[in-house]
Amino acid sequence: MSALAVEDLHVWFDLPGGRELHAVQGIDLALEPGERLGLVGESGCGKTTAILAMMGLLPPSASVAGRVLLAGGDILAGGDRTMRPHRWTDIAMVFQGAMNAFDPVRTVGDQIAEPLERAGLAAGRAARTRTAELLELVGISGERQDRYPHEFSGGMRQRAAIAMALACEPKVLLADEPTTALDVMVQAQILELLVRLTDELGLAMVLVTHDLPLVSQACTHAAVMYAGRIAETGTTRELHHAPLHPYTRMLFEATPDLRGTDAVRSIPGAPPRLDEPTVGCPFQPRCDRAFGPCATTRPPRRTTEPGHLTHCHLEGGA
Amino acid sequence: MSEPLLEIEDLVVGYRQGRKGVVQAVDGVSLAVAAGAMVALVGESGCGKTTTAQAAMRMAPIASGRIRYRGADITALGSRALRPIRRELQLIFQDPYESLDPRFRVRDTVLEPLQIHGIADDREGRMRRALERAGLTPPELYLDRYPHELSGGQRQRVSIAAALALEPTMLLADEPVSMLDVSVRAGILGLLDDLRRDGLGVLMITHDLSTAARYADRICVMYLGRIVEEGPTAEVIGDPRHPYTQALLSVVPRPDPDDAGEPRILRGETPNPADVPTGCRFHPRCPVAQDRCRTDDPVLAPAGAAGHRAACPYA
Amino acid sequence: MSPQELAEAIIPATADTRRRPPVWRFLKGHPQAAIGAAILIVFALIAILGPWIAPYGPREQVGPIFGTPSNPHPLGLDDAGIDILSLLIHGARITLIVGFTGALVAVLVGGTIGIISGYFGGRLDNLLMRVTDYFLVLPDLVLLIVVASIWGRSLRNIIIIIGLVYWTFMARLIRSQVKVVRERAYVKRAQALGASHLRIILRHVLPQVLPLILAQTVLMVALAIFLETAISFLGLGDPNAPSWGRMIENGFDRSAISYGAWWAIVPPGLAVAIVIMAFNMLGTAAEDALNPRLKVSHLLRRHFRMRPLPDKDAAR
Repeated sequence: MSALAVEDLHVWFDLPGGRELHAVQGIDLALEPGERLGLVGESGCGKTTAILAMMGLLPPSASVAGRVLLAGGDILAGGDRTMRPHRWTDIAMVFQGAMNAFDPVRTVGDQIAEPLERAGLAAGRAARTRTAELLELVGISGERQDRYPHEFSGGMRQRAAIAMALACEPKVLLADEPTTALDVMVQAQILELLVRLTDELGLAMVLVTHDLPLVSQACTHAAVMYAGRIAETGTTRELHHAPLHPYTRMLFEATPDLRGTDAVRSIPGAPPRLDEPTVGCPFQPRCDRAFGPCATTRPPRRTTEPGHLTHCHLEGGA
Repeated sequence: MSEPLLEIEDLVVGYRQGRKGVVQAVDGVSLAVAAGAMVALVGESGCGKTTTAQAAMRMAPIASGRIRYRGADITALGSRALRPIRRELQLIFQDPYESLDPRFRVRDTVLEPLQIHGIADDREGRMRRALERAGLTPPELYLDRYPHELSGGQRQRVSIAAALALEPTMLLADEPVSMLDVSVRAGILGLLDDLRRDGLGVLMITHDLSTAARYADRICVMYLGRIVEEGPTAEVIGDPRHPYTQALLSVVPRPDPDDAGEPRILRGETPNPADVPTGCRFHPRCPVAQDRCRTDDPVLAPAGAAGHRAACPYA
Repeated sequence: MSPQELAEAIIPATADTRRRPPVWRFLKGHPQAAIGAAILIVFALIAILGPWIAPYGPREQVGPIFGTPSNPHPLGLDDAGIDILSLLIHGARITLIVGFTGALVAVLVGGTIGIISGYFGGRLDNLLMRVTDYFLVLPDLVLLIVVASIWGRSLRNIIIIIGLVYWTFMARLIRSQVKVVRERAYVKRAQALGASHLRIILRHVLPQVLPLILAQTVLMVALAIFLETAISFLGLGDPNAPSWGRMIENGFDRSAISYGAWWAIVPPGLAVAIVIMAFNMLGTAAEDALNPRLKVSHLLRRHFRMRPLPDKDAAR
């Protein structure tokens, strides 16, 4: 059974003047325990909103539809009421910029222990022991729990943020741009840590990022999002070697490779507005292989191998 | 190679940090950029790459060393004498969301350099040509827009257009694409590449080796205020000699999942520039460090092919 | 991320973001600001039209001492038999002028020092902030008693005192804002281009801090009116200018209370209270609108709504 499955997830935001923004337009995802899925896309494609919805961390202006299944049970059905018992204990998240979100006047250990205490899992001495364990788990000496955030480097704060998310032993970890703003070497350290944690703890992880090579190296599977929808999902190998959606291929073509010689090409145009309904395929105006039906008909769901899915009119790959 | 446009020689930039005394952010950096060339200054944050560029623009206090532009020493020029140089040397900033005044229309942003330098003739024409050169065509479409009405890529093009309005000979681009979406990065980098082909010198500061590998002619790798390796791009990428460069290259994520290589992840983080290790400043993290590395401070020495130098005795 | 930011991050930048005039939008979004503004407009009209709408002159004896409120004199008469309503109307002009010019002096002095200090930084900043701190620790009341007794009692001196007492707030506030703006890349760019400091301040820095200055000015007018009232009440006001503060002082001085003539004190007191409240409503709303940091507290409140899945065909 999947550790996490998302079925037909939609998120809308109310806009002033009674309008609505359809940020997530029906996405499906499934992760086995220990699986790492990269959720990639340009800024504004809805990837962060999607995982915030999986955590139930959306503001009052948002409305949600669909199912979020943890080990088979729908935790989204009752809104916040059914989400709350699972949040942090079964599904946890590392926020974007979490390393800069520590309270500067409280010790790091204190802040890591907070979710433990709130969930009633440990308190006092037990919480301290557990906090030390958590810090060791992410590669920081447990004795450092009495230090303040400013005594940690950026990389260490990011490790501490990961430790905090893992405090209540969740089975699913959602990580939003966990390495953005970190240096190349620290980025490699954090990725190595995330890979090790998912392997050792059997965690299912969704890694949200705009960085395709990162996903190629750290994840087994990937979902490419565009304009609130999943353009293509499959293994990272399938996506790189045999993309079914032109957007996936064009994203790879726009990414310079250290030793590559192929021309790097940007994708012309900009993503569509999400506060107006789109007709046909949302990527059609920017697509280099658009043809007849793309402008008028929403692309069907298509699959070649099991687990390799796309929403595209093209048959036989991009 | 033609006569260099910008030459930085043995540059030292220090700044005061509390009572600890002076911290050397840049400690003896030399590099040259010729017309029609793109040099990439690569390194992690805090390595001094941005400070180097700012010193080249005379926007950071220079402790010692020399900055030459077209052969003329500009290290100590006063602000009046510097004005003609400021016309020729233009900065492009990292964050297109921050580098445009939110209250300025595109027109005002691009006209501003002309106003500052008192250029009155054909302002409108210069502005339009700059916008066209930056790929914002037709200019009419953009002239009256505010930054919030533009996408990130368009903003960066406006920023470049403003730099081009004075018809400079040299561009200093500080992480020009790191805040942009992948899909538009290639467009901006391609634009800089075109400008280089037109004969401009470009010094690009970046932390992204893949970008440097793809667009630069030469790469200088900085670590803790020093250049530790430099050479033609193909040499530095294909045959890295300094252990730091080797480690950096090994951890660059590759788009092909089957092309992982063997990442050599360095432990720890770059030391504070206030507390530079003795000897080779890289030795505490160096996988091949020997005893002598603790005491001997290596200088750049020829390694590998012509024009390739590294600051490591084992290179 | 606030829901607004979240929504903004998701909406792609487009050219046709329509913008209503910001003032109108602001008043619509902040009802208390609209109420404050409406009250102030009424008082401003009274102040401007005072000489024409006041039934009697400010020095015109029209009836008995402390005459009770009655038909021709709805607010009664004061100790000299002058119509209180007329005094109130004439006093509005003086009170508002003192309030505005006092605040203006504070804003001009404080703003200038704040901008110079914040923009140039370094030693100049240190020096200016030292001076500011010096003024900040001077007790207001003592300062104004000393100044008034040395320089004499006049409107001009009251305005100067108000400026002297309040410019420090302004200087501190503007300085911290300018320090932020100074680090913006577009300021750096202008510097790299060789733009003069004056140009950068006028073109880039000032427009950025101007809304804040305006909001603070509004709040400062309220403070200035309060201080003017206090100064007058202590008997240090201009004897020739019948401001509301002077009216209150006069009432107390001439034992209006022992006469039971509440109407000599309550109306000007109420007028002061209402005007200060109105300025405050407008000013705090403006400050609130300019300072989004105060509004992110609802970030993690998770009261999103559930709704049924959209009809597949309708979504097409």
